Amino acid sequence: MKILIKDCKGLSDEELVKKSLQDIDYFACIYERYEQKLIRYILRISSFDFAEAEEILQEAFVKVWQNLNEFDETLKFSSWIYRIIHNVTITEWKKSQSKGKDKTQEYDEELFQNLPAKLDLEKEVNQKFVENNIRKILQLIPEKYREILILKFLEEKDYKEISDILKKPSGTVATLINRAKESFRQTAKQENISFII
Amino acid sequence: MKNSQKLLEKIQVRKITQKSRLKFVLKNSLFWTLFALSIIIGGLSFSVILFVLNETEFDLLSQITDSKVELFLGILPFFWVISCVIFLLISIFGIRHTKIGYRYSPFWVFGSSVILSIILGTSFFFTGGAGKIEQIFAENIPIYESVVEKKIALWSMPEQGFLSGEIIEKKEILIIKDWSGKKWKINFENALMRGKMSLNKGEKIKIIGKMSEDIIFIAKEIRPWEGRKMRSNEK
Repeated sequence: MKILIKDCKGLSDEELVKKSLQDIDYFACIYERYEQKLIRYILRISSFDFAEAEEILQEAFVKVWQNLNEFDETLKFSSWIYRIIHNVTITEWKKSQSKGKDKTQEYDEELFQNLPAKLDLEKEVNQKFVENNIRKILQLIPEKYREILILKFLEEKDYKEISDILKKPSGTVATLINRAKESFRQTAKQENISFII
Repeated sequence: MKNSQKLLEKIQVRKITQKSRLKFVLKNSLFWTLFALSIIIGGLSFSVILFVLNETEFDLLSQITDSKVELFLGILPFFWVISCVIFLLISIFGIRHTKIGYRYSPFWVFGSSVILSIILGTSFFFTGGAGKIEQIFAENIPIYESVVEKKIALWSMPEQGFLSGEIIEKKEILIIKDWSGKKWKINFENALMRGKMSLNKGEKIKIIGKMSEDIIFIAKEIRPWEGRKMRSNEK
């Protein structure tokens, strides 16, 4: 690799895309800039283990490379790359499910630490209790609600970014977030899970 | 080896090339063009709907016997309504597949497509283009029957009380030639005149009345051949 990571520091994503189109080595900088974030995202929205997530990310980046000319600067690069990773991950996850790999989704610690407060749930009772129950509820709510909760409250994307990632109008995103929160609360109620003392 | 390096190797070993920018630009342009064309065709269809409705005299429905209602309904622009709906759907499909199409809600996309088609169609109708489209269809598509042909059929039923044609002479009575070339003597003494008419030679008229003999028709009401546009001036 001729380009060192330090050469990419200070360059914006958009500048890196332009340079990658001229010199593939710059593409490695994009990969390294987003690798951790995107692996975490893949793990959050799917049931893949870490090694599988790495493989998915590699394949998704091959797609990013193929379609790099499609990126236009009216969109944030991070939204565009999240969209590709999201689509590849969901496709691969569905494929793996249809092959009979019925895995339970695993969520990282951050999810369980942040989600209760962000979902307007009141005082936490017991961290372990909360973690287990959030895990359970996220598995039970519909996929469209799960992914939007993850994008909004864990990836901390704003409405415009979520709209660009999921290719849905901003108004629909706002509605989905409200419904997702409601679905979360309703599912908790049905499962007799209370997050309030 | 770092994952980023593995990725570059993978791309190079598999000889993966980038899709050209032109391909993406063309794809996006294609959907915008599809959207624009559908709006134009939808608009033109809407203009013909206005044209046909303008030519349709709904007040006749009460005077037409049940067996002839079908003939009246045949004038209504079902073909153009279907065409308008199909192209409206195509325009929605087109814009939804452009790069930025997802940003607009289905309601917004539907509403704007309808409004654009209505604006375009109404403008086209008032410039007189709708009638020409209808005529082009009638001349070039054998199975397509123009509104004028349907109108002639509806107004060529003297036994049912509907007659039309061109005035060839005006005395105490009118002499008209119907669309088959047959001459009729029209008694219009007690006829109601609906719309602006001079009743001079060469003028085309529609008559509601009663056939008394083979070539004599007693008029109850006379209307200009043209549609509602003319009649809208009546007092």
